[in-house]
Amino acid sequence: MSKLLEIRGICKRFGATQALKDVDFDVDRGEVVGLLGENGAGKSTLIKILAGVHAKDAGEIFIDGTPASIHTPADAQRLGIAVIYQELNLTPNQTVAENVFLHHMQRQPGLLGKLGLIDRRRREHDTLALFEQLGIHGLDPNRKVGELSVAFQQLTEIAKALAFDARLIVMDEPTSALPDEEVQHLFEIVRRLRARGLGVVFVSHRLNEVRAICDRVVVLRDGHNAGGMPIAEATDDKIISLMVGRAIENLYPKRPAEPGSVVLEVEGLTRRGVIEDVSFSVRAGEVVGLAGLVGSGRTEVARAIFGADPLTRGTVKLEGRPVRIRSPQEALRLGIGYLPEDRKVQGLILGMSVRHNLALTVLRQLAFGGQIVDWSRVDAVALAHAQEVHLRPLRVDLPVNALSGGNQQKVVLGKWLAAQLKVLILDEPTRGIDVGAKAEIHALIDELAHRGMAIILISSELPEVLAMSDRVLVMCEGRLAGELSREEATQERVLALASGKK
Amino acid sequence: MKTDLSLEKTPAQPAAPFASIFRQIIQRPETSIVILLLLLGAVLSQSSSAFLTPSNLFNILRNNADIAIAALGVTLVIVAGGIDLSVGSTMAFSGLVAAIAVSLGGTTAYQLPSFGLPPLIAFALGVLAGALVGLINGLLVVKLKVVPFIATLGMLGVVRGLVVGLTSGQTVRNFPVEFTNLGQGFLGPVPIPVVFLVVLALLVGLFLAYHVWGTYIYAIGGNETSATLTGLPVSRVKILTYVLCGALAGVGGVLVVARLGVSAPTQALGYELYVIAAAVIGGVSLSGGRGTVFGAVLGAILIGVLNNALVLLRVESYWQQAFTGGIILLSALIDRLRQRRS
Repeated sequence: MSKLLEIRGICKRFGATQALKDVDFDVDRGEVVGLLGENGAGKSTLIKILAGVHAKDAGEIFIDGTPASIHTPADAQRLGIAVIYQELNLTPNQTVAENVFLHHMQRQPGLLGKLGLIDRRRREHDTLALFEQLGIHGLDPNRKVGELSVAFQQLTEIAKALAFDARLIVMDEPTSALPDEEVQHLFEIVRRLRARGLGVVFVSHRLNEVRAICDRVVVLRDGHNAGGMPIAEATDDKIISLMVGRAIENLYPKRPAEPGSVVLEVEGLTRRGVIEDVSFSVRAGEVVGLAGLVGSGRTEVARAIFGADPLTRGTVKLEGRPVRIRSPQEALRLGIGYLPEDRKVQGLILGMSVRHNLALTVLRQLAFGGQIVDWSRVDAVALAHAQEVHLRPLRVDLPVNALSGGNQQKVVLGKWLAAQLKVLILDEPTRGIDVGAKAEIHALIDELAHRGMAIILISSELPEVLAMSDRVLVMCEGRLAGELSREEATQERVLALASGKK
Repeated sequence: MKTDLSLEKTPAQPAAPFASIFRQIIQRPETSIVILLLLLGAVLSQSSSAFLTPSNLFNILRNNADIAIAALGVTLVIVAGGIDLSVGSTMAFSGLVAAIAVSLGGTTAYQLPSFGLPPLIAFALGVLAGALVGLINGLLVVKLKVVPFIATLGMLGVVRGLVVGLTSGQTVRNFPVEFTNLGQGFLGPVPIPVVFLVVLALLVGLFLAYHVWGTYIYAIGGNETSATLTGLPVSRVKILTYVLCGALAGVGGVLVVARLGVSAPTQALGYELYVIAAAVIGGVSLSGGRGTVFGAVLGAILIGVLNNALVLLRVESYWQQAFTGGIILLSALIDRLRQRRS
């Protein structure tokens, strides 16, 4: 019997870049295949060809052994292919039931249905039935999707796929926005789908997750098939060297810290309903990890210190002096920087060039009299910082949206480098970034700390927090649940504190 | 906080080859307007001998300088990610303020006060009135967080109503010749409103390109959240764009009064269509972050030439608005095509 999906010799070119060249890929019924590769390796292009968003230049796609032509997303749906993107495709102001059956509305029986009237009760009933297939009970199908957590929104997407009898579900980095316990739950659901004979393509950067859920991995590099193997043979080193084309010597280059004097001291930081009585301090040259589940208040602590959100109570001291930071502008003036969790939405001006983005924090210092910009000086400074963060290609005239995710993040980091900070708060600095760039960003973090900057590192990736931090603070439900030294901090202890167990 | 400026000289980047410079020029939105203008000019000079004369060309510029000047201001607001629908009303209000200040009085049945102030002071008061409207717009948008479209739509009504109410629908006339000269006179061969336009366009263009706040404006329009989290003075810059927009609309409004020799309550009615159209035709993106002053001025000129063409080709003036609307759609189409190609 032929496989569920077979892809042979797919090619796709965008202008001058060959995004995919002779790529083969297949998925069988009841199989979970991990699709891996660095950013720009061609994973998204492959997914989008399957989804009918991009048209292939050459190659063939077979479903159940018959050639399939996919030109539009509707074609893909008809063939039973569902793609769940990282940025979910839901209408937040509509209910769960409306979203699940957006494409296949249940009509009233008889004439009313012919006129286009919807049978709401049946729709709600069918929605509940679909969720029960996924093992979810008691979800209100009339809740607005925008009010649900990301995990439930993802479930809504999966239910939506089941609603049109999808047989192949592609998940593009489904775990990147999920807290740990939700990841386990998602895996449970993926296993159910597999047991029902669906094929699943699982795209992720997190190798431990891939190993936990996939039956087989396929690695792309620079638009080519770099290799593949059953999961039993897939070690981290093997996968990474396939992805990068070389072995990464050290993903977490961290030198022991030589902490100086206390730079940042927060006491009783409170924002009503969000964070409660958070106190800690950070020394010069120290990397303090801030761990916790998604929604535990880590980002909120960062935003409060940075002046992006108002404080209800609490004091912030900088080098021993109490300061009041009411806006990011004041924070920048005091030498505090914040690398936000979503670089595209919060960190970069995508339409502007690298030069502009790198220079924004220091534009005034690079201007005659603080007013008239000296663009040649801006160029020199921007280029110097681009070199410092190993930007590739090393060009400051490109728009940042032409760069890969890793290089975009280097630009955000470079922007704060330019500002000569005392304190830098990094919120998920390596989310969605490929392994090569990740190692480089880790090296930069280490370098900045070594130069005496006080660094707060927020990350949902525990290995990263544990390896890069000198101390780890763990948050749980808006409060500081505990502090662990580098030696004490193990995955188990952090998780125990984060989930509120003593 | 200090910046490390003791950087080593970094190697200059290779100069772009000629072909790529050419491509950059072709892809600029301004280029398509210039081509459109040349085509229109060629057609018009064939069908009407009156078109390609210096006096007609200068007249076109004079009659549209006010729209172009207001378009400079609206460009600032739109590039920063906002919109100002109240420019037409602001123009009328500024014109009225200047008219009352400068009028020698005694012309209307319903007696408005008239102060007979020196023309330049009246001019300044008019511009100040425009800036005040802009300040209110800015405060509504930034401090009260009203959506720009709604805030300025409201102000469109309020300010126009103020003008109509204050004058009871009457006109204000009887200006000293030094004042009307600002709209009707010449500096050498160049009409004075055109001189205003050139000087202001240069100033605003240089501001956007070289002043720190110019870059902030593009950054805020490009992504306001990122700009805020980068520590830029977002609120102040946004308010400034509305104030400058009001002031520039004010300049335009006073020039209209000076050119026509009368301030009427319906003056500049519906001009927001032309002003915003000029900017958009000139490549200013309504989603913010993109656009130039040069483009906006070209857009205004294109609208002017088109209206002139309708006159020369003896199309009834009732049809002008439909043609202007058509040009907006055409330029949007060109912009769309260009973006798809790149």
